Amino acid sequence: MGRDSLQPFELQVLLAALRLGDEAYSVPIVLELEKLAERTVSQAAVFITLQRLESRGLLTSRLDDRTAESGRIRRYVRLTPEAKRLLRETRDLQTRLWRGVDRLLDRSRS
Amino acid sequence: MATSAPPRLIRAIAARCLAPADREFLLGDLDEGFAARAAASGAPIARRWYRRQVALAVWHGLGRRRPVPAGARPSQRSLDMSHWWRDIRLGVRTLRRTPVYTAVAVLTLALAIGANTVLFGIANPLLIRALPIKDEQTLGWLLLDNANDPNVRGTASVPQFLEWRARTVTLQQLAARESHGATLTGHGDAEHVTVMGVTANLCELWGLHSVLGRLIGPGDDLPGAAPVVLLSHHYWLNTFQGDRSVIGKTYFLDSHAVTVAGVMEPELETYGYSQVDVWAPERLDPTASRSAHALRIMGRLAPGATFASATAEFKALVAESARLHPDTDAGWTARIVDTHTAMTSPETWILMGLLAIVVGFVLLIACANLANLVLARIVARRSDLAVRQGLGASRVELIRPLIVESLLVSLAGGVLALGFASAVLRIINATSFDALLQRVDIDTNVLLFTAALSILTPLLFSLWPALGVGGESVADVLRQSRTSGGRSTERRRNILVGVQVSLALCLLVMSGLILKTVVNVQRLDPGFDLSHELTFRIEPPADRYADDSARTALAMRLVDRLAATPGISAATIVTHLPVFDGDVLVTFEGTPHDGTRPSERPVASSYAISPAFFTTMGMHMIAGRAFADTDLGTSEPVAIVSRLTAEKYFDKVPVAVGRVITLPGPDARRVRIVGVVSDTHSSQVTNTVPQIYFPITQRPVSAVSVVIRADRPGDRATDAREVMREVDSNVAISMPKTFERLVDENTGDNWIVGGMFLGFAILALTLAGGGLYGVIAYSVGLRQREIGVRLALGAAPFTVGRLIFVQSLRVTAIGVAIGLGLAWLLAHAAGSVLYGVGPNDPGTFGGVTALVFVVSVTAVFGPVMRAMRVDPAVTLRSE
Repeated sequence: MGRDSLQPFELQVLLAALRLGDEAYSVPIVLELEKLAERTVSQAAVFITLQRLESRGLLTSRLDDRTAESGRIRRYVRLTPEAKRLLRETRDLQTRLWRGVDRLLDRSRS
Repeated sequence: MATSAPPRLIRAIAARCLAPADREFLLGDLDEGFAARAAASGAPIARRWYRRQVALAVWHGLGRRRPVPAGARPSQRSLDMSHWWRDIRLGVRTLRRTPVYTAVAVLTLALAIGANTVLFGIANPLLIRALPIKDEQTLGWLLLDNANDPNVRGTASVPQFLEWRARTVTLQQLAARESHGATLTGHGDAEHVTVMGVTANLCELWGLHSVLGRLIGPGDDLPGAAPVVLLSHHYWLNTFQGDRSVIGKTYFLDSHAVTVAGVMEPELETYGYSQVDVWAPERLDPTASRSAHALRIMGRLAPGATFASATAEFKALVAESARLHPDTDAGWTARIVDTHTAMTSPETWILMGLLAIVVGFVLLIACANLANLVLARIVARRSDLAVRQGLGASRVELIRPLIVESLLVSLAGGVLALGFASAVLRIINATSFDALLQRVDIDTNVLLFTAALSILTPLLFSLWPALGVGGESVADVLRQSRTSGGRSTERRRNILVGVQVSLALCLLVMSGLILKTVVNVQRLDPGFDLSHELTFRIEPPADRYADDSARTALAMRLVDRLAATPGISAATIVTHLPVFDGDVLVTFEGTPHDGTRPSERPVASSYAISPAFFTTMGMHMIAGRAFADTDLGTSEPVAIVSRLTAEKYFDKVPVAVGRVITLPGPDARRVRIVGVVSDTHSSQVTNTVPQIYFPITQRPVSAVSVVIRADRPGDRATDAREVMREVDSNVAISMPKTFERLVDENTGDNWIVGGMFLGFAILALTLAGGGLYGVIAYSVGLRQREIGVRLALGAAPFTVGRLIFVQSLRVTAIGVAIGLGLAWLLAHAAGSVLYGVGPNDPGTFGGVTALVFVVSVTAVFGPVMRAMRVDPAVTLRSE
């Protein structure tokens, strides 16, 4: 896997974080992914993926203790411009790859 | 649902394992995830989810991956848990990649650690939980040793106990116990029971507990106190079906009314105490005979007193008793010992010591084997290690993954070892006749022992090879990476193989000697028939039979009726059985070897018998006549001596017949020897002592053993009970047993010991053989190039094969030489437990040496053949 490519789960986590915007941290990311993927998602896997993405420079994180009413600190994440560029490239590549394939896929099913 | 929280223990583990910097937010996120899941799917599912997430997070070393801050000291880095995590994960991956090595290593360790666990399981009750006694370490037991025979342990008389209790200052709360048989009536059939008579303070001294009712306490032994007994737990369960209303009921013990006051705790049923049916207060009669020795004495060490000071005091007390009462109290010396020593014989300790050496050797051989494997793995990774060293890895960092890998193998081996040990202990449990061996199991002590062994063993087998890592220059290593790994590695390998061979040989010799002993004891001819006899004891109650003559007469009536029963060919009575029971010694005068001092008088083991004894036992007369019905209490006192007695004291068998001997004592009875009979073995089983027999009508006793001769003795037990009931239904008989059963009970456990020695020795030989094979095969593999060159230069394959063969066997020969020396030393140290085989037994030494060479040649054969088949062209091309 090259430096500029994303593994499937990394892609999913990045997209979920993007959707959540300023409210992105591990718990809502897990819930978001479970809602979209309709399957159980491991929180530990999300932790690990977030760390990896951060070390690759695709995410920045900040500790926020504004949520003092819950009595604990959260680590919010935000996508870097590099991540957004990579997402766009991935989307464009996938779109190109998918172009004209739907028809073949549906025909082979019937 | 709002009240449910994540599992506390799991959360604590997570908090411990996660990096401090990230701990708070990771735990917070996990808590939040838990709350969301608990609300959606319920607490149990949420808890399961939580456990899984924590396991995953910890496994992946989460939170530990952030770069070490610049400036952190190296020591902090190497202590950081994350390195260990990384090494553990690396170790698991490496081991999974080499499944054969992993399987061999785990199995080797499982067997070796298992062998040690088995032995510890057996020694555990002896060493650690001897008896459920309060403050066991300060309880001193009085052992009286016979000055002439170290195998005989004495007991004290009531007057001795009372005198010593009044005078001792080193032992407090002096207590005593003695066991005897009695007849219990009032509950179904009359029953023969074993009674443990104890002084009133014993229960308190030992800190015993009752499961029902009360214990025996102060005052219970005083004249006039209401007579009470305690039932042992097994007797209460078996005979009274665990009936709780038994407390307060009255029964008859030897026709004396006694009230059941309580039921003893089951924990006490170990050693001889498992045979006890009834506990009763011992009423000490100061006027009792000094020659009636029956009491075992123990007391609490006084503050400031030690076992040594108590021993010194009791030595003086015993010496004074001997001086004041030379007839009854002489010939003994005293020791105060702890409970463990008091409960076991010196032979037990020798055997346990030997077994400990054996299993220790098995573990060492296994370690040597594994050390070789580790050495080979290090050699295989040499270039990798050298490169890492070149890049700046410290020696600790190079060695740590190797140690962690070995630790993982060892822990897996330890888990398997527990399964193996538990299976072996279960077999021992099921087959043993010994109360102690029937109790062996895997408890916390055994678990701790195995865990400790599993953690320490890897240090033994991986540290030594690992110490060689990083000791050479990087360039050297890289240059010779395709060779055998240097001379020092090869020397290490040879030393390890030599050690294995010597240890295995030593074990085989010891096991051979012990097995020969077991076989000799088993084959031993006791001097009488074993296959047709059934025996039991009767003890007619004192209130129905006024004196010993009346009791003996009852026993004679019983055997007359038994002898007339269909299926029974003969029946007899005897005071006690040869071999199976202890010896009762008598001295006499009137022989050519009387000596000048009382201690030099002829001595013999004496029995009182009915006329049919010799025919029932399958013994034969050598000279003179057997006893007849005409030898009565009123006729001339007669005796029959054994062949050994006749030869030892009268020089020749015929000389003894017709001689009159005198039995010393107040009445100085003169007895005529009327016959000489064949010898039987003594209670020491392995030797024969002089014996003398008297007609029981002339020396009546209170209790006798009955022996029946029949074709199928086991089937005659019911007849025995029925005939006894017909003769007198108030007299109990003990459990009838065949002689074969008695032999099993006495010697059956020898087979367990012998089997353990043999099993461990075979294990050792297999490990050593496998180790030798592994090393030679590996060495041949590494020397392919050298062999290829030799063949290319014109060496014949046979010459190359011989070279490898001779080099391998040289290591074996050195190992054998060292092993023989070691075995000789051990065999001489263990000489006292051998029977019928000397510590220098040439058969065992020669046979084992040959066996070791055969195994070595077999192990070397395969690799040598491979060396001879090396194709020089292929080998040199691949270089």
